[in-house]
Amino acid sequence: MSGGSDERIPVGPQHPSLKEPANFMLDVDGEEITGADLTLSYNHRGMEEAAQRKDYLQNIYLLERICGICSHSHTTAYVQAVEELMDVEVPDRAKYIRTLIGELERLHSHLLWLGVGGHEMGFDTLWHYTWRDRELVLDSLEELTGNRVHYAINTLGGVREDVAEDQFPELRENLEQIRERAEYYREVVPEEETVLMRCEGVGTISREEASELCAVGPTARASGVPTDVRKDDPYAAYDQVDFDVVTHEDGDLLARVLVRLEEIVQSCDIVDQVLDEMPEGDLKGSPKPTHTLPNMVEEGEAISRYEAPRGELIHYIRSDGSDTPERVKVRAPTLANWPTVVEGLKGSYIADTPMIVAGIDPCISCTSRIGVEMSEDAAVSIDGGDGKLTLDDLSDYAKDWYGQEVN
Amino acid sequence: MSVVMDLVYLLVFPGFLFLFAAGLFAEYVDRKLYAKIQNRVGPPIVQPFADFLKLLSKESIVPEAADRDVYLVAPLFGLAGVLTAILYVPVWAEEAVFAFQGDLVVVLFLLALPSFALFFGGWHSRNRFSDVGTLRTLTQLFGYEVPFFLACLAPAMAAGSWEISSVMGTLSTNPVALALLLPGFAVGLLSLQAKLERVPFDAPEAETEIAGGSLVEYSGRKLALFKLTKDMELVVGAAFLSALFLGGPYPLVGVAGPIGGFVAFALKVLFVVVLLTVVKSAFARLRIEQAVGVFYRWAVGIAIVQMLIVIAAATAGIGGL
Amino acid sequence: MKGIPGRVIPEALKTLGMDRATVNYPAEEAQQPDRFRGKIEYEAEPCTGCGLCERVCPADAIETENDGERFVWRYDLSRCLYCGQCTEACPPDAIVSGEEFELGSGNKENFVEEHGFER
Repeated sequence: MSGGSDERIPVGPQHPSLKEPANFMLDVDGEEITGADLTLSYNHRGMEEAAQRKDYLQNIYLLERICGICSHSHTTAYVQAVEELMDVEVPDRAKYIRTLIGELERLHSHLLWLGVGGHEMGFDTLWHYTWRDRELVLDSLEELTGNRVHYAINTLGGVREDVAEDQFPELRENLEQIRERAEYYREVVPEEETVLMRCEGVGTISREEASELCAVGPTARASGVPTDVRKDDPYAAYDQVDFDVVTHEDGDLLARVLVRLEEIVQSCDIVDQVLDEMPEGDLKGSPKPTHTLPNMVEEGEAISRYEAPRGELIHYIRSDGSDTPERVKVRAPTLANWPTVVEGLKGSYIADTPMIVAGIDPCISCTSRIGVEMSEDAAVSIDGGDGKLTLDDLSDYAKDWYGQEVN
Repeated sequence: MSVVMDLVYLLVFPGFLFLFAAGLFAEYVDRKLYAKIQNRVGPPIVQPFADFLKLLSKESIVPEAADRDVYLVAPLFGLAGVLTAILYVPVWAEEAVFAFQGDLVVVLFLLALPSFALFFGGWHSRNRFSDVGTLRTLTQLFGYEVPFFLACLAPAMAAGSWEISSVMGTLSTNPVALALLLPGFAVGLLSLQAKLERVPFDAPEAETEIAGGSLVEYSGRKLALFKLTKDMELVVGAAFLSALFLGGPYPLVGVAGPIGGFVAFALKVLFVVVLLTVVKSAFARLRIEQAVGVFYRWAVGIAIVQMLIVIAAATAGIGGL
Repeated sequence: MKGIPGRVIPEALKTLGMDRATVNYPAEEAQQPDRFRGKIEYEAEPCTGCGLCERVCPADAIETENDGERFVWRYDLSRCLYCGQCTEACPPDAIVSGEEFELGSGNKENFVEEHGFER
């Protein structure tokens, strides 16, 4: 096995640059990548299947664990859909608290991404600085909710914990420090010459390509597509706070860095507004005890969208009137962003692979809902010929696949 | 008697044992300072030695597809080069242990051996990642060797000698000349950083891109030797640069004898290591073609300018050159 | 060259003078906020044996047995998500979230707690 002019380099599933398993087979010619093949779903855990066996209340804690970084996004999106099916009105204070935790989550997620991006670039100092400052956000979250990662602040109809009066001063103090650091990063990171050298012109996606490939979140906003669920389809308290949708024109990796740096400062602004304007009121929308609420869910279906730190997150729930959902489907934002990675890799250098992959802020645990490869000469026609894929079709396909010889 | 003394020089001081201890200490300083800059604690002083012992105790696997002979010899190659190079650098007195006209060039060539050892080891490991890594090592070699040679040429021209000891002797009592040679020192530092394959020039070893580059298939004793070579190279490179540009064991040699000279030498080597660590912590990793671009666009130019400065100063009679 | 090489160096040198940002755990104790959800604590006295905690638990960490004479409450530490739903659902607050989080053990038997009372 010596180097020819066309070699295949595997990146993953175990690779130092990937935090979670995914596999890219890169066709390379020297240092330049000519094509890429993507294989996902190493992290498939059967979450959607498990969600069908637990009731609506237990599912909050299950779906929260789809991802550690955007856990609040998943619970809020899920709970919003269930509340639609239950026809329960969420009180204002609960909406504000959901917004507060959501923006704190966006802060910690973007700071984490900044650090990971720095590490992929070899800039370990930036990594340790941002993760040190991220601890301030996590401390605030722990004060408010009791946990640093899986906050479990949502419940059916509202939130579980209140923001006490004596917590406001400490929150504001932490926020001051976070804002100071965020403004330092916004100023310094784009000025450092080696960062510019690594990020400028890397993995460029034009506006048309971003629209065509259905990119979401900061990845799309960096290419100039102004899509933000908080503005397009406001939920929680976002219709009552003032903020801008941050976009950039260039569409390269530097644009994505700049968009996220600006969003960190924006999130600090939103948290300030939420703390100032938090209304009085109840925490829960229904006076009944929460463990009886799953029985109040009516038949129907609901779709809920949420702007996770990585983009638009969609939860779909179909209910048959019982206290367990009939079908839960999660479309994570990272799944929508993978085609931009494959596009961006073509024509780039091997050295840019971890950067381009890290540029979309991948959360492979979020993505791995399903991976199906439709090949022309499959032994089994997957959809049974009627053009529709059901769970039974997939189950038959899996049995057939594992029964085949591994070649 | 002199054979015994030669053996002592070779094996104890400033040869193997001294360089072993100095290399591990330099690694400690590097890691501790790096950690402090990042607001962390960093390892205790025995950590590099503990890492070395741990690697020695691990299983050393030889891949089936590798060229066994070259694969096994490669780690020793670089180690030999580095161990030989220290003998020509003045460590505690005006004269190095062995000195002769032209040893400047010999040390420059010996210091290139560790990179070739990485190349031989990596290329004959027959691994896709190490292929990319070794190609990058060689590409980078073409980048930094030229400015390094040019930068080290400047003090030789200024002192009119090809022997490190006499270059050091002439220049170290001449602060004006040392000040004029600062641009060369900067270029030398940058090139040494690339020779050691540290950030921003660690593309050949990029952990997040090619999983370790040339050393991917090495484990156990051979990996321990490679890492030891890198530590020793740090010390020898720093000693070499401090002898040429910072005056070596002066100014304490005359005052406090060999002990004083050695203390001055150690302080200057530490100073160079600290500079290299600060550079390591402040930059991101450059792509291989960007790294070579930096050398050919900036470093070579500055080195040539440095040589012109030396020539101009000598013609004008400044600084007694 | 559009940027400044070494833009981070002033901050790096300033950080040299700062105290370390890491906590020397376990030599120093870790501080927990009030709302921290640690291992749950059960008291038999207020418990009515309703079994709501078993019903709402998402992880099947609580098991109850009721044979009319004796009520047994069994809790598996290794399954618990520390979500606190049982503490919310329990009507007489017989279950509360505690502060303990150093729960590692080499023996699987140590993970199951059992309490009971005569009805």
